[in-house]
Amino acid sequence: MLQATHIKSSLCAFLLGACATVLSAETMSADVARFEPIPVFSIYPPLKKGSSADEALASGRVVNEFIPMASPASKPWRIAFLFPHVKDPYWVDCTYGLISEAKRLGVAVDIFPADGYDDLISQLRMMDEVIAAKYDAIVISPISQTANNPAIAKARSLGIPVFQMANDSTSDDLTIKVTSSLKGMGIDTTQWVIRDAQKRGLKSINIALLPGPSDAGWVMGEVAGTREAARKAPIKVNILSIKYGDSDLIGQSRLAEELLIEHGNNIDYILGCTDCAPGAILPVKAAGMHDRIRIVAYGLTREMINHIRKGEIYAATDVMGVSQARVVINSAVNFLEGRIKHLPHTILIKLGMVDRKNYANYDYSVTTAPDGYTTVLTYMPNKDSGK
Amino acid sequence: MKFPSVGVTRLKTRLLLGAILIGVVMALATMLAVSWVISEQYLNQSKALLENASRIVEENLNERKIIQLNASHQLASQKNLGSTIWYLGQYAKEDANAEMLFVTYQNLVKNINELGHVSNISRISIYDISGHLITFASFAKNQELAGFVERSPTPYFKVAQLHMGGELSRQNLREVSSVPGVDLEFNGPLPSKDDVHYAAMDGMLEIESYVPIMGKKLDLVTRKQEIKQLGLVVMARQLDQTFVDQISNLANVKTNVFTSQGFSVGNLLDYRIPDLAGVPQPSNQVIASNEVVVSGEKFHQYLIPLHTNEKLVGTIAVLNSEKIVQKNTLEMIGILALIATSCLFLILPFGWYLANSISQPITRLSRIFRDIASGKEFAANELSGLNYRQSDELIELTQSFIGMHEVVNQKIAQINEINSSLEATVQLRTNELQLANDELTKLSMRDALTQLPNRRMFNDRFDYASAQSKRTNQYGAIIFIDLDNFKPLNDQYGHGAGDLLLIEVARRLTGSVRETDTVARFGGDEFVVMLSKLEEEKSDATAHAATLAEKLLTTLCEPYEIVMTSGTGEKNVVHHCTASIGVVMFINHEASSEELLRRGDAAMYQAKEAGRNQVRFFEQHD
Repeated sequence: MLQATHIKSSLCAFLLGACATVLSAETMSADVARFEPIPVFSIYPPLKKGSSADEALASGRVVNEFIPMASPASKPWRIAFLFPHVKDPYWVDCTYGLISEAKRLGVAVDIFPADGYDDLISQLRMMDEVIAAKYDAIVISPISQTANNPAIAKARSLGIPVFQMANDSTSDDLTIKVTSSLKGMGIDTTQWVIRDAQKRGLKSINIALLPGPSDAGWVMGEVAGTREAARKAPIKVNILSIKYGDSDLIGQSRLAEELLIEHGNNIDYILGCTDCAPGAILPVKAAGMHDRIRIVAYGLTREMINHIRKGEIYAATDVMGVSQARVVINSAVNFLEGRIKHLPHTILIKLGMVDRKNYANYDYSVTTAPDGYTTVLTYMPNKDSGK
Repeated sequence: MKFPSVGVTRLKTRLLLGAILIGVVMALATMLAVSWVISEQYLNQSKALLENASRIVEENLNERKIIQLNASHQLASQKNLGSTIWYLGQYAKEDANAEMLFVTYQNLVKNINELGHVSNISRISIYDISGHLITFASFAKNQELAGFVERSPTPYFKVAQLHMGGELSRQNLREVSSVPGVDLEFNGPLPSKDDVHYAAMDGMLEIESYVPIMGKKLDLVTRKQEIKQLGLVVMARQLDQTFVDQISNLANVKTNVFTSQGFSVGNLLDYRIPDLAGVPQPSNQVIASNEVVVSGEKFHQYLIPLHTNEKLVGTIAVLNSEKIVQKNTLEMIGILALIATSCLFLILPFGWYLANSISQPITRLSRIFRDIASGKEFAANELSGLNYRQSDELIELTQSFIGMHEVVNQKIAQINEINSSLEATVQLRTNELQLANDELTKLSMRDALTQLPNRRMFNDRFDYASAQSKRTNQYGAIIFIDLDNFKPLNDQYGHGAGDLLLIEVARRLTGSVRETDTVARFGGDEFVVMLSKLEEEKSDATAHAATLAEKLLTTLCEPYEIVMTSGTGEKNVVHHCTASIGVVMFINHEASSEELLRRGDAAMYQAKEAGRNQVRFFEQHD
């Protein structure tokens, strides 16, 4: 059903996106990155209250479409962004997407990172502060799927639209949710493994998972996706083992060693989270199994591209952080400008897949910041208007 | 002469007693001096001890302040504490996500509970920027409480008794309306700077510190995140018995802590209010020192004032008992006395020996002297008894004495000899003197040329004859004789010839009268003859006198042959010379000697005038 929806909506979205691109091209300055219309699934209500993205995807009206570059704003709207942190490349890439788009759109952006996923309280306080500071819109990447909901409700009640980006939330007070499907990551990654196995002529494969911490929402999504893909696979896919653990390199290496000790001779593929998969490289090499065991990652980073180039990791799913950022700020501006007639409940950025075949030609501008980019957390259009 | 031997014995006793007395006096004086010096030293030590104690107190307080500030900073700078207290302050009201709220409280309380235990803090309170209490932990010894504040409907405490490492749970929490020393709202505006000061709480003095909780906060106007104050950490640490013990042990003094109300803690329980008596200028600003009496015991004390905003909050007194000074002094005196006594006992035999070494020879000497004094020969062995080294001087003295004795004896013999010869000489000289005296008497009563009585002797004889005349009633007569023609002899042949003639005249006169009559020369060629015991009848007596006068006239007028010797040989001169004679009769005391002589002289001149060589009687013309 998902596939059918994709095909129906894709043509329409493409046309719309092409028009938007032509219209907005003249207004862009030379130094602002242009981007192609971004393929997304837009999910429209009616939906159950408190739905997650994956629930919405499952139960909502899903439109396969492209999000084009929005026209610059008519006024320098102030938009606050609440990030869990900016300590890993994903969120840094997101800041790149936001700031570059803020420049293009001519809106003010302030990014307020908390100190990490254990720092919900700071995010709540920042939310409170940005509400008090009367930003025109708030974009939150909530640390908690539920605990941020009262703050979101409060902003909404005070007339401030709140958008959600990347991290999922169950709040019904959000204006638009922009994310990618966590389950989709699991599915896409596993489907690549299945296709690869088929190419290798394998009728049955054994896989092991290093998904990350067991209690994290994204881990659960990934595992659920993998399970679903394995179940629906044309070949037999056995999940031999799932080793949960914090996503640090040393911890994951140890877990990988355990996997190899327990099932070393039977494992065909190891699927790991962005920070987990690199942890398996050395143990596999050390066990002399790098020819047989293929490591695949649930996420893409700069480091991951190197691993793919070296053949240490075979493929990685791309959640397209930069694209997510672009979509969310474009959506916010469009909303503030009153350009959106029908609000989607959720916009899911379609995932990309990088492997040894396409890594050389892949468009990384949709997923990472360019080389030499240093994190910028604020942008004021007035300051840069002279440029 | 007696020499009491007791005296020598006494000398020995005196020497011994003197030695003991001097020893004792010296020992006492030394002990007094030393004890004074020692007590002064201990006094100074006591002062130094208290000064050191004061320094230790100040250092300890400063150290406590630093530790407390460090602990406060550690807490205040904990990651996201500002956000946490904001969250607790904010969400506690909203009753949203009770589980998360509780876990947050749980973590924070656990945190401060551990910090408080580790840093020995008495109380920790955390206030949000509005001054509302968020959470606290109180570490009172009898009851360790920690908890937080529920703000609806009215604020109340939710507390649990927590030990080190304890954790809040829904089971151990209970509701109370107040916790001692913990205020629901911060009293006054929230301090924006670090502050550490003294405070009094429930009769206890404590070091209280304020440390602001800082964190990023969005400025509503600039929309920039700036570092701003988000709350306040209040910590307090009591100056409790532990503090007192610490100071007392470190500084070896008594320590009392006072609030402005009086005694708080300390180890001098009877000292209730700081005593500033005797402090020259009682001042709360500086350390004062004086002496105080607590329960009859004297102490030196240093008072360390503790101020907050120039207001005296409390005082710490460090005290050192004078008893210790006295005890130490007495101990030292005791030791000295022991040493002195030991020395005395050691000295006594030596003193005995010394006294004997002096007294024994002296005793011997006194025996020798006594023997010598009583004229006896002293025993030789007495001297040999002295013959030991210590009495060399005494032997010398004895021998000198004996030598002196012999010399004195010789001298006495010589003096006796001289005495006897002196007596003989004196006798001789006395005799000679007698003779000389006689001669002198003679010379004074007689004429030197003729050896006839002179006028003075004549007067004596006249007085006698006059008295005799009165008794016998017999007449006497005085015959005045003056030589005529005498002067030419003198002029021609010199005085030598005259003198010879006069001597011849004296011989002729003397030969012409009775032995009882007196012939006298009055000078020059004047002679007087006094006839006594003549007749009672005047006429008879006058006839008798006339006869004699005539006889004299005759005798005198005979030629004088004078042999003169000179360098050329002898020369014979014959000289013819007559006399003019005046006679005067006397009886009884009818006329004085002078009168009678004048009369005789007058009669003699009459004879001269009458042609010389005649006799004339004085005639009374009535």
